Amino acid sequence: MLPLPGTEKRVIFPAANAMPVWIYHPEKVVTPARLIVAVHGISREYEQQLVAYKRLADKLGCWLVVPEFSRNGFPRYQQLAKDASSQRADTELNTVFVALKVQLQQPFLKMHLCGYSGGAQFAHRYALLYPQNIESLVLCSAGWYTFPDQQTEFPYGLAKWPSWLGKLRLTEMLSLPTLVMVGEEDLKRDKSLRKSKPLDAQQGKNRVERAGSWVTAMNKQRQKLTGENVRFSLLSDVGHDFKASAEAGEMMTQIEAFWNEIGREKVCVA
Amino acid sequence: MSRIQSAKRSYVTRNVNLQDADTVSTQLPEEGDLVLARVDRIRQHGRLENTEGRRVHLFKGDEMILVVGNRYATDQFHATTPTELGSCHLVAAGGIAANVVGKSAQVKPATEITLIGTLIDKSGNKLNLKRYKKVQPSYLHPNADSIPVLMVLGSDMNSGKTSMACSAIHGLNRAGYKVAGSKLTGTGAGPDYWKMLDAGAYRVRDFVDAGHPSTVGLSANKLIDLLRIIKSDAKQNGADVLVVEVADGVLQPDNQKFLSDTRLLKEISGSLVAADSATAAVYCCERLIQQGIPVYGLGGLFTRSELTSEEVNLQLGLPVYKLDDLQKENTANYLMNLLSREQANGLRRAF
Repeated sequence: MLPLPGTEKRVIFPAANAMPVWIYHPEKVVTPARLIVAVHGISREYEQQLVAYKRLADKLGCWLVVPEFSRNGFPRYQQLAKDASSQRADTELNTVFVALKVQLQQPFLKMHLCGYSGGAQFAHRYALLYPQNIESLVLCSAGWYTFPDQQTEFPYGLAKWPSWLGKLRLTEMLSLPTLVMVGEEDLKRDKSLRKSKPLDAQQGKNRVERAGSWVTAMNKQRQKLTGENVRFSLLSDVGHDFKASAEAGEMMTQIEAFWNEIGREKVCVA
Repeated sequence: MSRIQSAKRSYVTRNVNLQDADTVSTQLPEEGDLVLARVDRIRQHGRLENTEGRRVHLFKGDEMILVVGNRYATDQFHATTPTELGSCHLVAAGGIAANVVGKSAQVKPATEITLIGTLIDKSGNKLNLKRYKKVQPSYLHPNADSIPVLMVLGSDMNSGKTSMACSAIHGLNRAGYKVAGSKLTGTGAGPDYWKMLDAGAYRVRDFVDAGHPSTVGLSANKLIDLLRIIKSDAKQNGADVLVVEVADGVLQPDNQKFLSDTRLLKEISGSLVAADSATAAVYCCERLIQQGIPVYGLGGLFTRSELTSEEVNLQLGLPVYKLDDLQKENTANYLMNLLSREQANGLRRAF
């Protein structure tokens, strides 16, 4: 049973029971064919995601889904799966997506896919496989990225793409409206940041540098296709902190503006 | 040699000790009864599968040991259990005698036969498959649920279920797992049984082993009991995993009741879906997911076309497996990991 308007509920779909999801039903559904999916970081701050995105769900008039990727079930959900024989975060989300398409009676349902930190890692890798499910992509404060680079080996680039993951759909992914954000003070090389000399050399030493490098690489590719750049924004006065970015920072405002800008939905600005 | 001993014996009688048959009687047949029948006119089925799996040729006037039962086969016959001796049809090469009430346009009319009589023992009791069960409800083990169960379902008859099930069995076997196979539902016939064995299943049990010539018309209760019995048998005989094929498509009436019974969710771990088209694949998958059944991947006839496979993948975002993929060790390990996790999870919560 899905939640009533204006309420949220933790739902376990029996066919995807390893990944509970929080679902928020907006006060008024204005864009029934769109769904916000907000993916938490490795600290699993899904409750904060829910609080932050509910307001936008109401403004956009669309359903909100916040998955819970548990530490045990999905230890490397950021990379979609730990290895070829492990449970996959992407197919678990797809199962929920199929269920929602049926329950909401929206065969053309698409996601505004948003991720913070590890969630942003998940989101851009998910987008490489399933761009057809995505309306827009919002990546905030990812620790590192898979670059659209056919010379660098996966997971840092696309060479030797693991066939077990499925078909790589780079061209379609490059065409997605994409917003990348990172706190301007997110400069620490903390223990949760992956570090190595090759990675530092390819992407930069901190999340700010790495976001900039990825956006540059993406835009170089996108120019050949769409002529439109990935939006990139430094969030002032915040470091690596979802709650601070959402509450006091500019993150949610920027996302709302981005969705307004791409113009596919009409956000009702109060 | 007696008339019974010299008759051509069909596959579905494989568990019966024919020494028990004393004579042929005029007692009226009931589902599961063994009958002596004569070939009157050969049409669709010109051969009968024997208990060793060989398809022996039939000739007019041949006498056969068959079992009366129902058949539901969208690509062949819809037929019901005869209640009288006399004219009847051979509706499955495995040895099912029934009255045809409908048929697919793609097959000839059924081979015409005459039911001569029912087989009885020295006490005058009819021989019925129920007397020769190889799996028993009393064998239910307290931990019968503690085995991963991969269910293979399909959009329709001949959508590729058996090939998928057998490829999964083969892959799991190659990956080092002890695999039990089962054809849970359908009409008694050998090819699927033998193919599971050939694929590497160390043990195969089907509804015939539980005393049913076919499962047509069985209630969801009975089908779930049947699954429990077969799980228990697999578990007690040391299987690591059970691969269960469900015959026909998800819209077959008995399957609809079975799949929509919430108790089924506790008996299985996950599923593979075989389909003959992209539309069928998407519909089946959506339906199973709505009913709470995890779908680990799709395959079947539609995978012959790359474009169709692409359509399915784009629509569902779930793995699409060709038969070769399922036979690979890494796929087997992936499936086993999901199955084991699901089985360990135990209870699922309805929402």
